[in-house]
Amino acid sequence: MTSFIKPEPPFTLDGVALTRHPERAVRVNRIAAALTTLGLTALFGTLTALIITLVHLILTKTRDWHELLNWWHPAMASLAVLPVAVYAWRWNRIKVAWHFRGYHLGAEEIYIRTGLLTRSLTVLAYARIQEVNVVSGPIQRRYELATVTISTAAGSDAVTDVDPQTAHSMRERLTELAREGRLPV
Amino acid sequence: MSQPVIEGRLHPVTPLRRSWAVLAALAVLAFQQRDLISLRGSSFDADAETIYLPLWAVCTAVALIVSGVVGLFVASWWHSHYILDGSELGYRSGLLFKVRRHCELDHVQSVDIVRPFLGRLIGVCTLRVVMSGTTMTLSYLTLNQARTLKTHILAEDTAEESLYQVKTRDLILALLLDLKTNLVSLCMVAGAVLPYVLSGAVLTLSTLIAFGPRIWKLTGKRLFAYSGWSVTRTAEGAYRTDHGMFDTQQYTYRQSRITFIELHQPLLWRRLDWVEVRAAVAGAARPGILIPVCPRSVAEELVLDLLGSEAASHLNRPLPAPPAARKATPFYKALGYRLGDGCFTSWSGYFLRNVTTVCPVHRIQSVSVRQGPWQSKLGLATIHADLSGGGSVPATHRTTSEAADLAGRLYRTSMFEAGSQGRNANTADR
Repeated sequence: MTSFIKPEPPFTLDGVALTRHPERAVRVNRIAAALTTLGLTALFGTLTALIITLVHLILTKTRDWHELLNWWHPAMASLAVLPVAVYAWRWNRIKVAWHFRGYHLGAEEIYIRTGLLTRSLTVLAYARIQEVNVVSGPIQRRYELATVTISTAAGSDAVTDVDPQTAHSMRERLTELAREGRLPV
Repeated sequence: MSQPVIEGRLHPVTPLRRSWAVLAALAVLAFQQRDLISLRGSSFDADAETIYLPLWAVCTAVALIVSGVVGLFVASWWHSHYILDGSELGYRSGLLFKVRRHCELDHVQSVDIVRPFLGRLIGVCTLRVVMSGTTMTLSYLTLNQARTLKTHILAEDTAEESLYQVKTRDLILALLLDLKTNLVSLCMVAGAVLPYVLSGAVLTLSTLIAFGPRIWKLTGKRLFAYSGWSVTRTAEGAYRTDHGMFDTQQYTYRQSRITFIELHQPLLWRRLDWVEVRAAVAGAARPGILIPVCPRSVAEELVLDLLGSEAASHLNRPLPAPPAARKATPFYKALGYRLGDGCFTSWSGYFLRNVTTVCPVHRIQSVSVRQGPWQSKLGLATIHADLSGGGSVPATHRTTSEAADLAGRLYRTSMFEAGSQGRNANTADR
C-alpha cells in the first residue's frame, strides 16, 4: 500500500500542523499529469519513430515501403506500456505529494510546503509581499479550485489549489497585512 | 533651490549613429551599379546594356539625395533637445516617431559618462542616467555638456578618493591564469577547427565565424575592456568604476542598492591570493564586476566599506559542511556558511572556481529549505536566502536539524534587521 511521507524537521513547524489543500487537488493534478504524459508521449513517440525509421533505412538500405519497420507488429504494443507505467507511477505519487503539501498563515509570515522528489519549505514575511494574484485554469475551474500567487522583490511563490473562497479571503488578508507592515525592499 | 536652467541640443553627429549604415549601403549600391550608367551625353559606341544619363541629371539627382539626407539630419538634430530645469531632466527627439522622456532627479541613482572609441576620436560621449529599473541615455553630447549636466544632476561635492587601480601586468597575468575561461575558449577553438582537421576542406573553417565573436568576448575583449580599471569613491556610499582601453566605460554602484557581493577565485589565482569582486544591484540582470582582479586584502577592505565593519569577522571563518556532505558532493570542502552581525556569507565552488558570497541580512526577502532525493537519504538539506532582484545565497548540504535552525534564524534576523533599518531610515528623514 502507499506509504505517505511524514514531514520531518526542516519541513515541520513547532506545534503547528500545516493546512492541507482540498482533496479535489489530487484529481486536478492527476488530470494535468495525464495531459502532460500524453503530450510528452506524442513528442517523444514521434521523435523515436523518426529516428528508428531513419536508422533502419540506413542500416538495411531499404528502398521499398513494405520492407520498412512494421509498426503494427504485436510486439510493438509493448512500447505503449511505457507511458502507461509512467502515468501509473505518477498517479500514485500525486496522492503522496498531496499529503506532503501544505501552507500555514502565521502571525507575521506565510509558510508554503511543496514538492515530492525535491521537497521545499518557504517562509515569507507578509511585510515583503508586493503583489497577490488569484489565478484559476480551466481544469481548476471545473473542480472549483484556484491558485494564489504571491510576488516579492525576489520573485514569486504560489499556494496552488485552494478553494476559491479561501483564495479570495487569502488575497484580501495578505494585501491588508502587506499594507500594514510594509518593509523597504 | 533655484538652479539655472541648462538646455541644449545633442551633438550634430547624433543622427549618424543610426543612419550611417543606410548611407553606406546607398554608396555601395551606387558604386556597384556604376557600369550600368554612363555619364557621356552622346550615344556613339551605343551599348544596349548601358543607360545614358546626361551629366546635369546625374548632378541634380546626387544633389537632391545629398541635400535631402543632410536636411533630414539637420532637422532631426534640431529636434533633439534636452533640458535640465530644477528637479527634472527632460529629453525629446525624433521627427516621425517622437520621443519624450522626463526623469525626476530625486530618483536618479547614478550618472555615468561612457565614451565609445569612435566618439573619443571626435570628442563626444554618452551620458547614462541610471534610475531604479530604467536607464536614460543621452547620446551624443560633447564632453563639456556631459560634465556640466553630471555635476548639476548629482549636485554632490566632487571630493573623489581613488580606492584601487588594477595594474595592467596583474590583469594580463590574471586573465592568462583564469583556467576555466581559457579552457572554454580552447574547447570552442577546437570545436571550430576540428572539422577542418578531419576533412581538410578550407570551407569548414567558416564555423569560426560563428565561434569567433564568443571566443573574442572571452579572451581578448576582456583584456581591452578591463584595462585601466579603477575604483573611486565619489560620495558617501557611491563607488564608481572606470575602465576600458578603447571604449571608456563608467558604472556607479550605490551602497544602498547592492544586494550581494561575490568574491570569485579561479583555481590558479589561489597561490597569488587574488580575487574578482562582483556586486549585484537590485534591478540589474546579473552581478556586475566591481574589480576584475585584486589581492584578497583589498577586496575585503572594499566589502567592509560596502557592508559595514560587521562583515569583517565573516570573510575567513566558514562553518564547514557536515561529514555526510562528503557523500553528496566531491567538493564538500569548499562549502560553508556563516550568519551573524547583519551579514550572511556562504562559501561554494567547484574545482575550477571558489566563490564567497556576502549579503546584508536585511535584504533577504524569503527563506526556503530544499531537499533533493539524494539529500533526503543522507539527512541533508540546502537553505536558500532569496534576495531582492532574483539572486539567492545558498548554504548547501547542511544536516536537517542545522537547516531547520538556520532557516528560522535567517528569517528572524532578516526581519529584525529590516525593522531596525526602517527605523534608522525614518529617523534620518526627520
